[in-house]
Amino acid sequence: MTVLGERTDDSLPAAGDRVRVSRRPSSWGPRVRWARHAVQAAVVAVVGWQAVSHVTSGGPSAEAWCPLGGFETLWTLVTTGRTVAHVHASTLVLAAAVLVLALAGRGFFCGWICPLGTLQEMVHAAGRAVTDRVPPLRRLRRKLELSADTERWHRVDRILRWGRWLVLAWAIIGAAVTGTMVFREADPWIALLSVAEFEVSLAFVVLIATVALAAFVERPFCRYACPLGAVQSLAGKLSPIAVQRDDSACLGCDLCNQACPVAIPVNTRTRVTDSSCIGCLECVGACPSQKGLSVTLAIPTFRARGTTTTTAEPARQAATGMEIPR
Amino acid sequence: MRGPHPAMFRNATKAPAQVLTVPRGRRPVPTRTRLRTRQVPVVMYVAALLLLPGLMVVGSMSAGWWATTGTSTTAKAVTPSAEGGTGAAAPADPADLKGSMTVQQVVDAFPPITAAQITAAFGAPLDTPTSTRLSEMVEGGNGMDIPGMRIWLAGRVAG
Repeated sequence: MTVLGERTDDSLPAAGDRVRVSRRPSSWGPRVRWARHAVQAAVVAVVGWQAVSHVTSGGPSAEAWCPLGGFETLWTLVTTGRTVAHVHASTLVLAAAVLVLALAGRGFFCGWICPLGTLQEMVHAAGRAVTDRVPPLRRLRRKLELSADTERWHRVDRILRWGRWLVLAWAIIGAAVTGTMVFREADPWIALLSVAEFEVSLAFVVLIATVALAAFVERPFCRYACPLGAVQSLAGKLSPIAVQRDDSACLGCDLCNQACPVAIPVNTRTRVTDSSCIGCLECVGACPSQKGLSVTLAIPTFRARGTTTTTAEPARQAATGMEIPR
Repeated sequence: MRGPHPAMFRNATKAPAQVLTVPRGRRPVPTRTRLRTRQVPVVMYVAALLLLPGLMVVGSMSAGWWATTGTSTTAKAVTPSAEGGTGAAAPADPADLKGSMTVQQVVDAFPPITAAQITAAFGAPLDTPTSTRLSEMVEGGNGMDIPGMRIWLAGRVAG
């Protein structure tokens, strides 16, 4: 069956159908990606310069640039008026900035600013580049991908994602009880910024493990262990801004799913409000359809229940066998 | 199951026609939101979210709330004295030593240590003012740095 012409809300294409949708310019995706990489590079440069100046001339230490410390010290600050050791006023300001950023743009900090996330992305890209260029590794990867039990892997992935909340609870409760930043001992961010003062510690081991895993899994620390990401997930639930999918312009092509570094099934979502979303806009950049995915601001008024139900919806449910998320 | 190869769409987006084909075996999942939404230009979204934390940091700096040193419990436990030093301090941990601390603050926080010992450890002249920051002494010193000073201090305090 071939359908040419503007699609309406009530028509859904079947596999093999030709549909007329506005297409994005071919440079759109790369432009979004390069903008993000430029911001990430600038942040890494600033942080690298700070780390070097700390070692060479005793400039501000790594803790001064860690927003997580602001959340760890919150209980102590409220109850005693003091901060826990290694927390500075700059830490509190950065924590407030990250909180405001999460309220406005969900995980935007993780996707565009966090240098640890940038490092993991770089390692993953390098890992893929190596396996793409070395035939035996490429064959091994293909073999693993084909033989992998996808369902089991998704189940393990879902379970491991709870790790972020456990680490957050440990960091916050530990700091409140002991008056010190307990997570600091295992924080790869601290290890990364202190890498010049080479010291084998738990944090250093976590950093090495993160880097090693990142060669195979995209952003493993962000997915499974980052307490700052967990804080932003909570705050992000209140954000009115999200990536939104227009099903009338969606091709169901899966490119958005493949582009997502945290494996969100974007093409099954209306609004991408998943707590693991890092706001990188890779899905938006990958979408070939002009209106398929876009960033939208939700105006906090609800339509009356039932006004969005169309006569075609029961037919759609029957056709796809999927319940329509509200 | 993996989707079609991205190259398929790369080629499609280079073609002049505005017709995109739904791949075999695929179909969009129909969804609806009950929220009233308005599209935000991506450029504006990114620019605003990058400016937001920047403005907060600059605002806090201009309001005098920005400090990259010195608000730990150890630092709060001591009281200021003359020459930029501090009064009687709670037992301090050498690991909390910071480059922003003055020689006098170190002397106050670690009682057995004298200013002469510290300046000698850094290879600085004996007449160095006690209001000098350790970071300044690192810059013009004999190679002793803050981590090294922490170790040196821990040895002296324990001894």
